[in-house]
Amino acid sequence: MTFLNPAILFGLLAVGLPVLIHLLSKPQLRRIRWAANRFLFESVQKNRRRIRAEDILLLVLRSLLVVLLVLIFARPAFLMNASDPQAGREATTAVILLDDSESMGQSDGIQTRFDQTKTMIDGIISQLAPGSAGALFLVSDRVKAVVPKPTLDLSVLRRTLKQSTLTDRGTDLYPGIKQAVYLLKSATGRREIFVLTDSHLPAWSEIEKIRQLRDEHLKDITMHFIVVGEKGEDNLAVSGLETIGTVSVVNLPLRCAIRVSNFGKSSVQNVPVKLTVDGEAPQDQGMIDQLDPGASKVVNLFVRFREPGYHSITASIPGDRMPADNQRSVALLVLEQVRALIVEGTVNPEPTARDGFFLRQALVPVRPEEVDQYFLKATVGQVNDLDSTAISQYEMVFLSNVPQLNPLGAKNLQQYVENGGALVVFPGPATDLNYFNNNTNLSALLPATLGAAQEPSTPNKTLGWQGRDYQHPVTALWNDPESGNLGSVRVSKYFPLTLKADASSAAQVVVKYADGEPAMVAQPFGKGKVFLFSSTATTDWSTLPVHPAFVPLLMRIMAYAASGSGGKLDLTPGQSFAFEVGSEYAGRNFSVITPGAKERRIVGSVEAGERSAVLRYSDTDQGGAYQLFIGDEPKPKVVFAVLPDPAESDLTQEPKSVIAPLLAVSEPAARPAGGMNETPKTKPLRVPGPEIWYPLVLAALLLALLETALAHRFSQSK
Amino acid sequence: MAEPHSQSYLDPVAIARGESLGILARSVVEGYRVGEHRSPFKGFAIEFAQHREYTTGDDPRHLDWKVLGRTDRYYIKQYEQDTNFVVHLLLDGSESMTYGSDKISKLHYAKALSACLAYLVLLQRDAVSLEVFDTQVRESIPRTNHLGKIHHIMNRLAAFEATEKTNLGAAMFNLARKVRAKGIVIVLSDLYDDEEGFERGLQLLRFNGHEVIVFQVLDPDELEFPFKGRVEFKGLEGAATLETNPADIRKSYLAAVKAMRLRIRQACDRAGSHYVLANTGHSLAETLSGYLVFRHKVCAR
Repeated sequence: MTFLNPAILFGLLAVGLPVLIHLLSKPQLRRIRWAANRFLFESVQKNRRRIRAEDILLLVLRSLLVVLLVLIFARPAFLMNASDPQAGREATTAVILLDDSESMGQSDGIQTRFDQTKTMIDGIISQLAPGSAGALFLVSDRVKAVVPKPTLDLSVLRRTLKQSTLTDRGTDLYPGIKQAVYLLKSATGRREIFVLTDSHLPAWSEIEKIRQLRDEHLKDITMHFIVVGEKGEDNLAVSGLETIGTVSVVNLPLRCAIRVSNFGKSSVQNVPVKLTVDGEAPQDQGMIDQLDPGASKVVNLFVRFREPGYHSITASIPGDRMPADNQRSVALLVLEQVRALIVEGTVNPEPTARDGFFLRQALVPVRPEEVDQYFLKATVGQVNDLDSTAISQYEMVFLSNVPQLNPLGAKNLQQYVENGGALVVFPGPATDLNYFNNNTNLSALLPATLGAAQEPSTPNKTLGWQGRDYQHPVTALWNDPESGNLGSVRVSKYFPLTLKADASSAAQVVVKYADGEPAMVAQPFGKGKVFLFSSTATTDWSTLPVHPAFVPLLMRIMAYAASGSGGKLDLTPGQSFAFEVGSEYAGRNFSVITPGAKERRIVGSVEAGERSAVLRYSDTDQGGAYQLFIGDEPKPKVVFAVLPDPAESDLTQEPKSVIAPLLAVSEPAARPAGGMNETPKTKPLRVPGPEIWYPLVLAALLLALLETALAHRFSQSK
Repeated sequence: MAEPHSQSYLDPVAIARGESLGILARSVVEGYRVGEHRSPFKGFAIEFAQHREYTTGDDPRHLDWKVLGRTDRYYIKQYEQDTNFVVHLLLDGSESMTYGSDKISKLHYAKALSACLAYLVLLQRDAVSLEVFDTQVRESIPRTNHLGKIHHIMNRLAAFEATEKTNLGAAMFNLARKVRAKGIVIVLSDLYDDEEGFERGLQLLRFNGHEVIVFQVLDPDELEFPFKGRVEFKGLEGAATLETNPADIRKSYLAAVKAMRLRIRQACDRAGSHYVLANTGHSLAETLSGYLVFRHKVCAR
């Protein structure tokens, strides 16, 4: 016989505990002056032997109970030959890893892979030998230890398993296996890891590390890799949803590009695509005639918003056996109207020669009689207008050919951007470079320093913008040739831009010249954003103002500037959402309507910040639109969307040939130290067999009952 | 335990009940005054007892003229002579009497019982004497029939404090030797003493013609032994200390106490004496009136 927890045997020292308790309880003696001691002595004399016998019996029973309890916790087990079939029935410390990534939601028509896996795990738990302990990890692109430490109470394991739900996360098995191995290092006896997955390709992205980990612990930990869902890899998914063009404004059509991908092995025809706002009736729908295996198609649909505020747009296709990716949602802020201030640096009586002429035409590209109905209100002003705090009423401020700002204006402008405004700077011939590069307020705002104006060194003295490979979201639209070509923008003179190199700077190049120099740069500042062009907003130095892309470029700048004003609205599964609200909301409860839910659920309270309060929500494992409400307000304070990784929609499994070495389970306890195929030369390896704590527990229970009954009986009057 | 004031020994309820019942002499007593109780001396009082032949010197007034007329013989009529009896209160003042589970100790209870009895006896114009003893007589109040002396008796009782061991047999023996005239001896004690000595004393008193009433004063704790947990019993009167779990010996102890009471009762029965258990948990009135009612019935037969 052996003990699986021999260290617990030190607890046998506690056998003296009953005596110790007896000694410690002595000071609580009651003292009485007594007249009839004669009868007491008679009685004691008469009962002395019986009392002593009872005391000794109780002492022995109690000491025996302590010994039994220590033995139970020490987990005694029979030693037997490793080859004995009973050896396999020894108690096991098992860690079960359940893949809860989005791909596990694939159904065979009856059950999802996730539900099948839960049933299999239930079977594994049932087969564990008595005295086994188990832990349960949910593994996707993160490890969630729902039963973090092995528990002997397997009903807890079953209950937790039953309550586990699927997420829309991606997959990576390695971190979970690594954590399980780390956990089992401190365990004794037989140790096993069960990994149950649909063997989705991303799950094995670190297969070499998994193999290495398995080999390192071949002798002490058995790993079982169980693959579920061998069929049903056909899947049609909404793999992308983007709003195209301008800012989202009430009653203005918003174009949405919906990408539908066929991850199956056969073509599909006539796929209807619907677009809805806030989960209401579809506003627009389209049809994809044919979608070949592995192909994706983009459908452009339009929506309109009746009210300003935060909304969600959801694109959906008919249901299939992988429901999670049959719709995709994005969230956006819809504005009532946009106000822009165009600050001209010079005064020119000729309207077409004014510094803001082209900007105004591009921002309000409608006939004069339609200006009042147009969502964008552009106001042309001078440098002095920046001295007023009234600039805070504008969503955007454009500086065109401005030489210098007044000190107050510069300060106001910095404050304006910090509070969430957008600033677009077009330098020009009048621009004072020294001021732009050295003024404390303005230079802090700008993402780059301006060099002296220069003409291109090309033979025709013009320089074009880059024609492809646009990285920035503002210009990414022109990666599609159907949207036009920014490469035809020409400049005859420009200020070379040098991006700020300090660590705090988040400056990005939006578009470059053909020679690689930045043509336009941008950076966030406070809650706002700043865009700096290297050339003019007039036709003096650049053809941009008369280029067809000028209007959409300004609209995209506007949309990009507006998108980040309250916080990032589109998250990946599991990412925490934070949104700044007024400090008056601090401490109030907020509720959420999660994707697919209809009722609000209170989930927390608004956190107080330094200058504002923050709405923070973290339970974002599920893809779709989330509406957050503060208190009893009827409209959501903010809407955000969780977008699952489209890679999860590709249900292709890792080829079995790749994972075959992992699927072969080894029995380390049965294997001699010399190697897998080596025959033992000495006596057979003895391993712990079945544990015998059950009879000990029974004996302890009986003993406890006997002790209680006898103690009760002995305490009765005699 | 603080000793109560001497006035508190007289329990109004006990006195009221005892007054109506009175203490009657159960047997013939030798009084020193004409009273309510039968005297062994045949005199010429009210109740006819017997005839006696006339001898010289007899008062001719007592001649039974009717007998003389019928028989020509001279006989004198003799009558039962009522007399006042003397009650001797013998109070155990040993240390064992100081035990008390409630506010009052056995000694206090016994003192109160003695005072009430003395008052009742004096009230019906009989005489009372009191002796408080342990190993020897510590307090002695000679025979008195003045009701006014009750205060003196109570003051003496209140002043007494128990500290010594007891020797009940010797006390009874001494009393029997001192008092020649037949009377009533009332013993008030817990009787935690040599039982043989007690029985010998009892028999001697009875032999001398005394009526003996034994009040065994016991505390409810001594009768029920209700203690729980570990208890250290420190013996009074120099007895050893004993630590035990009362539950372990309760039944055995109660059996021992019961057996002791039975032996005492049997000894009293053998001597023709009354045995009364005075449980200090019961009111004094209950104990006293209970016994007096019983006694009234017995004397009426």
